[in-house]
Amino acid sequence: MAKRAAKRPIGQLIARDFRQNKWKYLMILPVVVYFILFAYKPMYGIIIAFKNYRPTLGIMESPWVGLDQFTTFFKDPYFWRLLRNTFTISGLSILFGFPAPILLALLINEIRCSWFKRTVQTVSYMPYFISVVVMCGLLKAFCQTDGVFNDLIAAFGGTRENLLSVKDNFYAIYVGSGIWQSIGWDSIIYLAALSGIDQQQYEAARIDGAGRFRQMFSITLPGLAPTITILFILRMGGILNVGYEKILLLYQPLTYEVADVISTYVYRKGIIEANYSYSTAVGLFNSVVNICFLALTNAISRRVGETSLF
Amino acid sequence: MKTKQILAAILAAMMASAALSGCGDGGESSQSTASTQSSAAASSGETEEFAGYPIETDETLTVWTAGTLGPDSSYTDYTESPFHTGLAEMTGINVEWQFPAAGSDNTQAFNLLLVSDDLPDIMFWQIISNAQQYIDDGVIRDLTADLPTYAPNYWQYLQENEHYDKSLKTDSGQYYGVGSFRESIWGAVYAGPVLRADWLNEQGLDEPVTMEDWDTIIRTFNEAYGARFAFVTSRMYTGFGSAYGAYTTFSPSFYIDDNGKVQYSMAQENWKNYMQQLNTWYEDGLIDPDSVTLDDNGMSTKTLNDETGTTITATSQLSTWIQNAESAGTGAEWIGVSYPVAQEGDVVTATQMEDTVQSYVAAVTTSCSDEKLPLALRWLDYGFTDEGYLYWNYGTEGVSYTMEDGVPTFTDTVLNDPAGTRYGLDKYIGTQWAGISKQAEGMVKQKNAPESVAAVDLWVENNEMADHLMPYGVTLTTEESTEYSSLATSIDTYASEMALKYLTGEESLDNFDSFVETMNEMGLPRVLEIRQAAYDRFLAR
Repeated sequence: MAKRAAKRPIGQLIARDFRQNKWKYLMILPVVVYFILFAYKPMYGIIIAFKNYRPTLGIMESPWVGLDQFTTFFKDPYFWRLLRNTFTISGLSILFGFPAPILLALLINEIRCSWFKRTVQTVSYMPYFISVVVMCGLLKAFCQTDGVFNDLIAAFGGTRENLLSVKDNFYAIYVGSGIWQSIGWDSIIYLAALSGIDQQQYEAARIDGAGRFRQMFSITLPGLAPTITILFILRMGGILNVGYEKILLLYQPLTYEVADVISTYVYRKGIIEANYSYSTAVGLFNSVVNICFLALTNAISRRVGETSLF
Repeated sequence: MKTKQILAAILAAMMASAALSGCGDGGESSQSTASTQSSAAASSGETEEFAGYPIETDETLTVWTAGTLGPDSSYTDYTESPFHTGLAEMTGINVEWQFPAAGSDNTQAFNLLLVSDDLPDIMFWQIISNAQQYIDDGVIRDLTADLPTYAPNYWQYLQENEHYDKSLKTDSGQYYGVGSFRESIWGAVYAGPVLRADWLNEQGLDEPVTMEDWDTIIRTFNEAYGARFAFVTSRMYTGFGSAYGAYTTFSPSFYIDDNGKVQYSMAQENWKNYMQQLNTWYEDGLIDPDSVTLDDNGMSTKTLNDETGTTITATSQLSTWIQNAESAGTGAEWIGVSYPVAQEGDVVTATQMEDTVQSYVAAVTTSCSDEKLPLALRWLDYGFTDEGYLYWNYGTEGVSYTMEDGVPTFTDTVLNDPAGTRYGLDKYIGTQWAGISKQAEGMVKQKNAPESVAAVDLWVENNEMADHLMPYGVTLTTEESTEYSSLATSIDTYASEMALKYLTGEESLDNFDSFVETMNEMGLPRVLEIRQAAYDRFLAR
């Protein structure tokens, strides 16, 4: 009884809300349809991770195999190496790649000369528009024994070697080029957040005698904190997603030991035969790990600070 | 002298193939007679005498293909393409061609096609090692009973070629489609050793035959020009393996040994000896350390800058370098030279080579009705008639080719196409990549630059690789392929990793035994067992 009584007003509420905001509902309709069609409907395809999918039989008719695909993956002699490399590459990218755009945004924010500020900003996000294939081509050329990097090393008295064939260099090249490419673009969102900070706070701080660094730590960073936290949580939710196109373009057997990640291995396995079930199983594994990290970071953030995603 | 050698090689190859076919003869010949009889019985009812091409019909065939036979990109679609419209005119059969959208992944497009309700009449795709599964799943038709009647020319072609016949039927003896063939190994070999002829002459050296010759040349070039042996790893193929009895350089592969046993190319003592030589060169600074990361463009730059004078590569690259050298005026003369052998006069046992049967096969799907089947087979058979062979390989007489002393010769329209010969051929002919016909040796020769033709002539001479090649038609069962793929990727990963480490000396070849031992632990014996069983079934077809 109580339930019914409670239900009616809600229904009426919704109906009234709908009448009042019908244009807003209309505007969001395409997005809802998009998510249903392209994000929720295909989800049933996940079941092929538990089947031996054969294209001729289709998703429904293919035979069930239970967890076979997963055991194959976990039992693979290279499983631990792949997992380790994936976490290392992703972890290093977050460790160095995540703070970089924040620093850049802070630095740009301190520039007073407006044309210089705009120029720096434009120049810094230009690399973002270079295709990853072209960028890796450039990197390969630069890393060759007669490339720019080696010219620099030689100028400082070092010996020339092919930098990409040495496995110790791989992470530095991968993470470094990643930062170079995305630092400007990623800083845009922080710059936008910075412009939202009330200028009166700075004025007040200056009157109180705070220097630039004091202002940065006491006003700018706290102002940015919610943005930083949200972006960090989202980033942690993609911990197993590494830019595998870039790895595919940069690695070769000599650097497999440090560079071969889950996605590249599955890609090579896929070449032998289009094994959709196996790749779906691995993809599902990736997603589950990602979600765990997302939830974990979110929970920590909720306990420690006030900001959280959900 | 040369022709005699070639004749001897051909004879040897024929004898070998006859010997191979011996094993399966009994069961197989009785089967094929049985099928001819049944088809004769089936067809005697209603077929009228075939009146030749063009056929008069209002019916339209739908043909799906990807990665080959697409109209040249200068046309909006196939209705403008001279090859496609010409084919419809010559056969009298209207074809609605279906190609996957530009930029899509072909394998994926094919798999999507399989699940769609609307199959075309004919699919031309790389199904050579999956055909049995597609027949069992009811996707393609078993053509055993109908080929002799409606595709007599193709049928006869198969009967005359043991290897082709085996490749185009499944392990259980069902004929599943019309294949794409190369007339000879000439079109199947396109890579080998190349070097700078101008430097060779300057240094007064002869073309190399043995590894000592190569060693001298590489060292001399290094001293005189500072050049090093450089390469793109994926283009090394069997490399100098022929001098050691090794069958690969850096890419893991299978081959058939002299006793008909399937072997893993990297688990061999011979391969170790070959790697030893490469490692020595590497340690002596004679191999460009950039090679491990080089791609075709990088390699091309190296040749242009005189950084290398010796390598292993494909004719397509060779042509590019020659053109580059000409336009830059460097005076570099790149030529192909023979694969090295251990002793002068030895036969070359390992070269880059593809199967003369391509992996593309045109299969008739189950959605092609019984009434339409004869027409579909007639259309497929066209490429195996004399007239159709000319059309598929050379296009239309008077437009794309003319007969010079009985030899079809491409006209300037094709050879001097503003975009390049390749594009000219795409407009008029169907066998440049994979076509439903026999790829003519003469076509491939005219298509290539003279330097490439000379190079391939050297590479195919005295070449016994065909006896060691794993046929493309070898088919794993569904169970086998699941087990195979779970083992093979990790072994291949390990092997290709170690191969480069042996090159650079990061791993010592003294530990070669433990390398083989590790692969055995990873399941190499089982992988070989699966491959062997599949190969034996292929031979027994």
